[in-house]
Amino acid sequence: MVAPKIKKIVNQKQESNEDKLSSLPDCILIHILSFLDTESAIKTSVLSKRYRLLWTSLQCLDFKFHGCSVDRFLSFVNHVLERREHSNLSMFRLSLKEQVNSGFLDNCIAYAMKHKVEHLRIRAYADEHSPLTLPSLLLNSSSLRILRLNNVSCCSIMLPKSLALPGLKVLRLKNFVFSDENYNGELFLGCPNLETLILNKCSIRPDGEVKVLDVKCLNLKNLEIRHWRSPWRCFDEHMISVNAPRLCSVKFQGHIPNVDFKEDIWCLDEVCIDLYCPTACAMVDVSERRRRTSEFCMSMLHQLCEVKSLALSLNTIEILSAIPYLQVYGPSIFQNLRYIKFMAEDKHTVLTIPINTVTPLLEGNVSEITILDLDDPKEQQLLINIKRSRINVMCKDAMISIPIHVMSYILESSPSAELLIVELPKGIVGQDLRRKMFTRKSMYWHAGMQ
Amino acid sequence: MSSSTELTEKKVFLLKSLDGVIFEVEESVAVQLEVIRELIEGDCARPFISLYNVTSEILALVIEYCKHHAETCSGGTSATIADEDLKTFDNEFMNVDENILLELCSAADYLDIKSLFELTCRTLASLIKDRTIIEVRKMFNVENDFSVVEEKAVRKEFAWAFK
Repeated sequence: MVAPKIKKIVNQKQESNEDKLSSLPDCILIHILSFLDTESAIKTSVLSKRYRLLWTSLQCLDFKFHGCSVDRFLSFVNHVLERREHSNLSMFRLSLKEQVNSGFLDNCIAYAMKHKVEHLRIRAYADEHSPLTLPSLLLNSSSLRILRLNNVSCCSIMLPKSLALPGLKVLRLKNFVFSDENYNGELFLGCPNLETLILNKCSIRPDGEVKVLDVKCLNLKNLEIRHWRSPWRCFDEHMISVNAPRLCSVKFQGHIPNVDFKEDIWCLDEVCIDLYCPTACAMVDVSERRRRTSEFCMSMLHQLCEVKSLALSLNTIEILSAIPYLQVYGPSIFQNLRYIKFMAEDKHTVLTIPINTVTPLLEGNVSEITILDLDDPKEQQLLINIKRSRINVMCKDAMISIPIHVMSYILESSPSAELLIVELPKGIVGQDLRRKMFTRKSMYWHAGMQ
Repeated sequence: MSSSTELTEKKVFLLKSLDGVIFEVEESVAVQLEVIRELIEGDCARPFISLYNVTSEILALVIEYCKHHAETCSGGTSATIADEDLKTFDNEFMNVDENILLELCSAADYLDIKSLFELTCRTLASLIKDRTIIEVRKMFNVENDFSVVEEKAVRKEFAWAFK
């Protein structure tokens, strides 16, 4: 549609020697430089005289250590902070996975906060005996909109018990362990305008006094819990209690967390679930764990039944298939569900199929559906068939396969469903690989059924 | 371009480029250009809006961009599908040479289209990143107006950034 026009212009590539970059006004050039890491931005100072001091007006500072000498990096950061114009900052990022003195981290954060930073992103590794305590300038900031803390060693950054961040919209915590040392239930109450909360690789300390993580955020729109790390033996005991009536989007990835949604969520738009469950482990009863994961996932879906768009990974579908009679969960629970998506790990192609194309197959009226490419009728775009109680969706060399009882249940539960969106993994070349994939999948399936 | 039947249903506006070419756009497209939105709201958009800083070649691209974004956002599909669609479109759209990119960037700034401005700035930054100073100079025709001595002095001044 658009491509031809663009191509036409590309072809008449202008041979002008005009320096259009340097003729841009300072504010635009600085904005372009702000998309670069600070080191690359400063290196542009030798392009020409025009650029020599441009970097000093940067409002975004992005320090990411990826070199060899920590000392050189620390001195670089200090030089920049000393020499830049002391205008306010919109973004400050410090990313270090090497151990540094918490005093340095403290200075950087204090600098960013004094310059009224809006977006602060810290990835830090400090000595566990003297972890970084977040300065009070940060804990009471009115400018902060986005805060991302990544605790490299679990005890590099001390989480405060309470804070007051009235402007905070996005909070992302990685690698934090909640315990009575850092948590008394007040953490999220201090962010009354929080819209997005992402907990990645977090957990509640086992055998401690804290058992429940209270997420009471009345303005929360997006909640993402990834790789929850509370041990399985604490599953019933450790809970995330969510009181967020305005949620629009909920995402889970990794081991299932025990989440209790306190209220009906009427405006829920999107739920995205990519669960993980061990298939073999000497320490746990795998089939018991799988059964409980799937039962808990179903009861959580019940709490989220107002959803309009539901995305399930292929792993999640396999886990759900551990329940032979999903119908016990009742018919038509997802009254508003319009889009159903199956997510593949190595996504390559995305196909959108109207639901009514698939229903004849599930009702047993046909055994195979072929969808042709409208642009090129000779080209077969998609083949859907049923084999060995699984529904297979194939496109060229890529294929996914879903247990038919799970597929039927999802469709029966969603009377308003319109579209099925299927992600297919990257093409598998040749017959051998296709057979390989099929065998692997079916082995997984049998292992899971025992 | 709209047919006459559509004309009666949908409000259209005429945009005149620097080189005098007139483009007809629907309201949903026009309001994405913040400068024009103000004119429309003030009822100063007739008979046509002159855009003195944008050539027809660039304006055609800008309209293409806004049209796609307006259509995708009002298409009624879920937000995730729309987002992915826009991402693919944006990637394809940025597949132009540096000169066009720079002009699109200025135009987006002048017409006040925030998403296009961010997109072009980010793309320009990605062209600068991972290129040596000499390569960047060549790519954008930046004339090195430092003398050899001056350039050495700058490198020395910022030695802490150049290892």
